[in-house]
Amino acid sequence: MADVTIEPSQKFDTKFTDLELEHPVDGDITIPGASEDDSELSTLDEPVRFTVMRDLRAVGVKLFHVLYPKQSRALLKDWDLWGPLVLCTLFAMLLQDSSSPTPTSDKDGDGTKINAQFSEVFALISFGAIVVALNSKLLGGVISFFQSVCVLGYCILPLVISLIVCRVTMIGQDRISSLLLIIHLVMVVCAFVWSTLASLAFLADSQPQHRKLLAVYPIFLFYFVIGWMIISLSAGRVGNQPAAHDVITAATKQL
Amino acid sequence: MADENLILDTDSVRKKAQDTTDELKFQDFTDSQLLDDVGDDEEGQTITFTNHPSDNEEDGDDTELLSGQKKQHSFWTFEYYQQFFDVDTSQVLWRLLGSFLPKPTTNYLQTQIRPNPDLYGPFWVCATLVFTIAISGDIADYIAYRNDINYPWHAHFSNVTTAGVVIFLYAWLVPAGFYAFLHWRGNHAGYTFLELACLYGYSFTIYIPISLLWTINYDWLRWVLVGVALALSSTVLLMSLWPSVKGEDVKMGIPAMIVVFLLHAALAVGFKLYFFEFASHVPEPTTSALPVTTAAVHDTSVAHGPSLMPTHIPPTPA
Repeated sequence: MADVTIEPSQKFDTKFTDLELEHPVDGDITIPGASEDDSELSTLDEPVRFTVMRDLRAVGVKLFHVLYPKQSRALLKDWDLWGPLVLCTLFAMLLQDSSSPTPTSDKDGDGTKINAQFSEVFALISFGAIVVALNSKLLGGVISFFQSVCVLGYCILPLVISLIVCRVTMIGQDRISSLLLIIHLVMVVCAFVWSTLASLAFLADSQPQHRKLLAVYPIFLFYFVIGWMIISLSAGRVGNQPAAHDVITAATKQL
Repeated sequence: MADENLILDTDSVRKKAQDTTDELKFQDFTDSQLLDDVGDDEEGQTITFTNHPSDNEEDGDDTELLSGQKKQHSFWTFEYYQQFFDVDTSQVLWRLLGSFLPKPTTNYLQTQIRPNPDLYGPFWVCATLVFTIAISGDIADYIAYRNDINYPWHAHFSNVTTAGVVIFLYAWLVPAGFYAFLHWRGNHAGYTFLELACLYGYSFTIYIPISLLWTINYDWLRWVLVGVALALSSTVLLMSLWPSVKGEDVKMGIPAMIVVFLLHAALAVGFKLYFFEFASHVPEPTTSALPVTTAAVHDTSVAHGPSLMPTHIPPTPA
């Protein structure tokens, strides 16, 4: 302990130094009776199942909040990026269309490419979310960058649901009717509106009043592009034309 | 900086001396001397020095010092970039409108963009244009070939990457080139690079609705739209840039304007030719193609000459 000189004139000081001498400062810093807050250590003791379930439950709660958007601070405070990652990967995977190769007269000149590759879609969504979140931060938004990315990623959920429904209704059919395309279009538009409104419910209040439209427009553009990718998948299969592989077989039979 | 808007008011100097003695006394505020101070120049001399250099940075610095609100942030902080996004919705909307509606009497740059050039407008106009052109190109492709049964349509993601690269390169390199040109010639009008980039970014606004209209499947209409967009956009652009080269001798000023116009025209024509050109893919008459394919599928013994088949069938691997 440090050397202290006892000054009789400073009675207040003397009292403290006496106390210090009587009770040397060592031991735990924790307040007896307060809860143990070192959760980092305690997760080592609990079964892995608990840890995983806690995170899954957090993701599930957020997904539920997206489906029934109400202004909720809970979603914003505990942001996580698991949900956006899973949704983005799912979306990019579902957009892969392996129905049939294209003839090489296409602009791409590449005989096997249909629609966008997984990496392109994934990069577009993640980079798009980052840019939109950065934009709202630069405009003077009060929520943090990762909270914005979290909300934008979670609010893709309605569009992912519409993509799943589109794919399910196209199972096994190489060509779909125009009516089905119209239904898909209506569904995607509804999902787009739902996504935009859900993200607005969380993000709109974070912007100053005179710049709200400036912050909302990029969100609108982001979900619009995602919706376009879904609808172009369906439109590529609309058929009053024979499937591409029929054409190829026809050509091979000529030669 | 110190010689701007300097107002010497000799009246107030006299008044201060009197104030200290009057502090403790009850002041009669109907005193005519106080009312005089408001706007009357009879008793004192008011000398106003106003010097308005057109250099934007000086103006900006002065307002910052006077208002005390903005600070100069270093290049590496986030706040440095926030100053480029310091616009309101109404300001952005006015700038968007003004970028393709030329007003003969006003200079778009002077009235709309100064003193607050922003990067929000240029960036999002360019981003929107990238996606609009790519999506419209795909839709136009679909519409043009909806009756061609041998053309399985699919969306081209390469449109997005190509359009993105071209548009963003143009929106940054051409203003940089023009700024370098101005810098070389002394930059008498005091245009900053930020203002030029802002001007060019906003000049793309007209192409967004034009690209949506380009989906209509008439080629002559597409060329008319190219002309209209080019006329409107380059008028505002050239009118805004003209003061910066006005002082030049004719040998450099006019060619500079011509080069700016040609680059803009090349971009517009390039958009049309790359994304919306379907003349070379005139669909074969569907009546002759249909029996070919159905017959070929169902009856292999029928032989047809290769000229009846569309030319884009890949050759069989040998």
